[in-house]
Amino acid sequence: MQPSEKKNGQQSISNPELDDEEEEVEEVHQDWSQVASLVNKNAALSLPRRGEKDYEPDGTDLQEVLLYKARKAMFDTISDSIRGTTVKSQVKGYYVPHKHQAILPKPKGSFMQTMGRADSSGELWLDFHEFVYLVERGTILPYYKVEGGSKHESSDHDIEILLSMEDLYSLFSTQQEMDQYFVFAHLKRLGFIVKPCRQDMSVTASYYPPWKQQNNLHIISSRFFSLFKIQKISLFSGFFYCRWNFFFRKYTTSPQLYQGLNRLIRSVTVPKTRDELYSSVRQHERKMIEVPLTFKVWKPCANFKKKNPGLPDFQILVYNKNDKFQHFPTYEELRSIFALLDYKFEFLNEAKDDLDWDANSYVEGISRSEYNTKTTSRSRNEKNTSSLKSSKKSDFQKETIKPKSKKNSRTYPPHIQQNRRLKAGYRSFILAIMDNGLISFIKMSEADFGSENVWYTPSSQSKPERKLKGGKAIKKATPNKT
Amino acid sequence: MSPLVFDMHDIQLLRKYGICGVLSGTLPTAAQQNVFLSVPLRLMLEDVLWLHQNNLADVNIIRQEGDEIIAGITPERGAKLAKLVEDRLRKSFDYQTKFKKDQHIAKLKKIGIINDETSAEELQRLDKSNNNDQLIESSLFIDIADNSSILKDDSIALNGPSYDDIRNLLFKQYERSEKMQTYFLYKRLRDQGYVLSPGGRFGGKFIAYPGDPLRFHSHLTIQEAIDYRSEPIDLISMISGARLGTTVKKLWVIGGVEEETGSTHLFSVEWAGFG
Repeated sequence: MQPSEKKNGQQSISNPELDDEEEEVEEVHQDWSQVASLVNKNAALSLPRRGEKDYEPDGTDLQEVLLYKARKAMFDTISDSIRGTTVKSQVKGYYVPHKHQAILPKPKGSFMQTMGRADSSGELWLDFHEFVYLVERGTILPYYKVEGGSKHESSDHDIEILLSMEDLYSLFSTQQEMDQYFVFAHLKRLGFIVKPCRQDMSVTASYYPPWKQQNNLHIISSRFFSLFKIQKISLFSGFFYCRWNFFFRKYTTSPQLYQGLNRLIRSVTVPKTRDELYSSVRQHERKMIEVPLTFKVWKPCANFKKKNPGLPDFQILVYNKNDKFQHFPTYEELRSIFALLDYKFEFLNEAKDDLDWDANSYVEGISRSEYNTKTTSRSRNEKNTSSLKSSKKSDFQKETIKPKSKKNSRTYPPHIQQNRRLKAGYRSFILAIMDNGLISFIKMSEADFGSENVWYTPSSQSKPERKLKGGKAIKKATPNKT
Repeated sequence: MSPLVFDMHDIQLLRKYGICGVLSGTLPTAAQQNVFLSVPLRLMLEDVLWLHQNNLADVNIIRQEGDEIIAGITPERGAKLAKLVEDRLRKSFDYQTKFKKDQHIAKLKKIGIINDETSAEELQRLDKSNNNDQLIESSLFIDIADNSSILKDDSIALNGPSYDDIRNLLFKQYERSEKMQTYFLYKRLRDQGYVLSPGGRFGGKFIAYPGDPLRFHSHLTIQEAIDYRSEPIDLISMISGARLGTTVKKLWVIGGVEEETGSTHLFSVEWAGFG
C-alpha cells in the first residue's frame, strides 16, 4: 500500500520524487486572486501557484487587508462564473425520475464521445452523475417536463421547468451515490474517462478468457496442487517453527538465515504472470465476497469508443470514511477485490514491453483484436470505396507506430526493476477515500517482499571486478529462485 | 446525506462565523482543475449541529425523496414554477439585451458611423438592417440558478417542527455514525475560535486553523474523542501521529469528555526529538 501519485487538488511539481514527502503532507493553499485574474482574462488555463500564508492572526491591519482581499477574490470568482449556455448553443437535458436518468433529444457536443448512450431514435440517455456533471460545468441545461394533465387539455404543450443546482443535488438518492459523484466529477475534471463498473456496456472487454468446460479438469488439478502446496508449507513450518529448527539446520552465513526464514513463514503467493493470474482467479471464484468496485477509469485518449472501450487503465473503489455502514476493506474483502480486478495489469508490461492489450483481452469469447478486425471488416464491406484508402492508412500507421514504441521500450537494470516491483507491487486498485468533501486517492497493491532478495551478497567474482574498475560500485541483485 | 450550501450569501455568512466547509462543484469558467471549485459547499455534520445549537441557522427537514418531490409536481404548480424561472430569465435577458445594444451603439460611435445627433429613427433603421436583434437573441445567456425554488416551497418543508425536535433529530443522526464526545471536542475548539475542517488526510478527525484557512496554516490534528476514564491511548497511533505531526508542523491532539463534570479536556503530543 502506498500513497498514490494523485492528490486532491494538487498541482504537479517539477521534481515529484524529491519533494514527494513534503508534497503529500502539505495542505493545499488556495490563492483565489490568481484564478480570479484567470477568469477575467479568460486566458489559457494554467494552474496558479500557491500563495503565502501566516502562522496565526497577529491583529495587524495588514493581515486583515490581505484576508479581505483573498476572500473577496474567492467570492467574486464564484459569483462571476455563472453556469449556463447561450441560447444559440443550448442543449436541453430532461430529467426522467423513474429511470433516474436524463434524456437529451438533440444532443451535441464533444462529451458525446465518452458519455451517455444513444438510442435508436438518436436521443442520448445520460446517467444521473453524468447529467449533474455536465450541468455543473454549464454544458447542458437541466429541465424537468411536467406532463400537461388531462385537466389542461387546452394547453397542448408540456410545461418545462429549468432546474437549479440545488434541485439536482436533492435528487441523489443515497449518500453513497453523492460521494461517488464527487469522485466522478473530480476525475472528470482531470480529464479521465470514467464509467461505473456495474454499468452494462454493449461490449465488455475482459483480461480473462471465458472459462470453458474443457478447463474443468485443469481447474481441479490446479486446485489440488495448490492445496498440496499450502499444506506442504504449513506442515513444514509447523514442524520446524520452533527453536529445534536451529538444531536440525546449520546456518553458516547470515543470508542463509534469511533464506531459511523464507521457508518458515507462510505467505500468500502473489500472481505475477498471466498463467498465475488465470489460476489464482479461478481458485478464488468460489469464495468471493461481493465488494463491487465503483469506477473504471481510462486515461484520456482520442479514439475512445463508448461501445467497445477495451480494458480500463485503473479501477476505483469509493469509500466514505465517516459512514458507519462502510468500513475499510477487510483482508478477505481485499483478496476478493484483487480477484475481481480486470484492467490493464501494468506489471505484465515489465517482462514484455509494449504488451498488445487488444490481443490479450477478450470480448465475447474471442480476443479483442480479432473482434475489432471483425467489426471493421464488416463496416468496410459496407462502404467499399473508402475502405482501400483507410486500410492503406491503417497499415501505414501501424508501420509508423511500431518503431516508435520500440524506441520507448527501455530495459532497466535488474536492481531498478526490483525496486519498482517492490514499490509498485503487482495487481492494484485505487481507493478513493471521501472525508466530508475532501478526497484522498490511495493505491492499494499486492506486494511480494518475501520472494525478493534485497540483501546484497558480495560474491567472490564481483570483488576483483570492483577493484579493476576503480571503485565503481556494481550492485547486483541476487537472482531469485523462489 | 451530507449538508450542502448553495447560496453565495449564506456561504459568506458562514465564513464569518468561522465555518468554511469544502467547495466541491465545478467552476464553470475553469472546468478542468480541482484547486478552485464552486458551490455547493459541503459541510460536516458537526458544523450543522454547532450552527443549530447557536441558533445561527434554520434547519428544515425534507421528508421526501428528491425523485418523489419532482415526480409529484402537479401541472398547476409546474406552471407556477416555470413562470418563476421565466420571469427571472426574462429579466436577465432584458438586461443583457440592453447592455449589448448600448455596447453596440458605443462601438458605432467610436468608429464614427453615428454620432450624438443621429436620430432615433436612423438608429432603428440601422438596427433592423443588420439583423441585430436576431444575433443578440441567439447570444443571450441562460444561466442555471444555484438555489432551488422547488424545495423552498412551503408545501414540502415540514411545517413547524420545534427547535428541540430538530436538535434531537440531528443528534440522533450524528450518534448513528460518530461518538457524541467527538462533537464536544469540536464544540470546545470552535468556541475558542478555531476553524475546523476534515482531517482525514493528516491522520485525524479534524484539523484546526487559528483563523480563516485562506490566510493561516493549521497547527492541530484532532483525533476522535476517547472515553476519558476508561479508554486506553493507542501508543502506536500516538507515536505515528506525533511523528507525522512533526513533518506537517501540526500538534497531535487527543481529548475526551469527563463524564462527572461534563468538561472537555484536550492534550497535545509533540515529537520531542531528544537523542
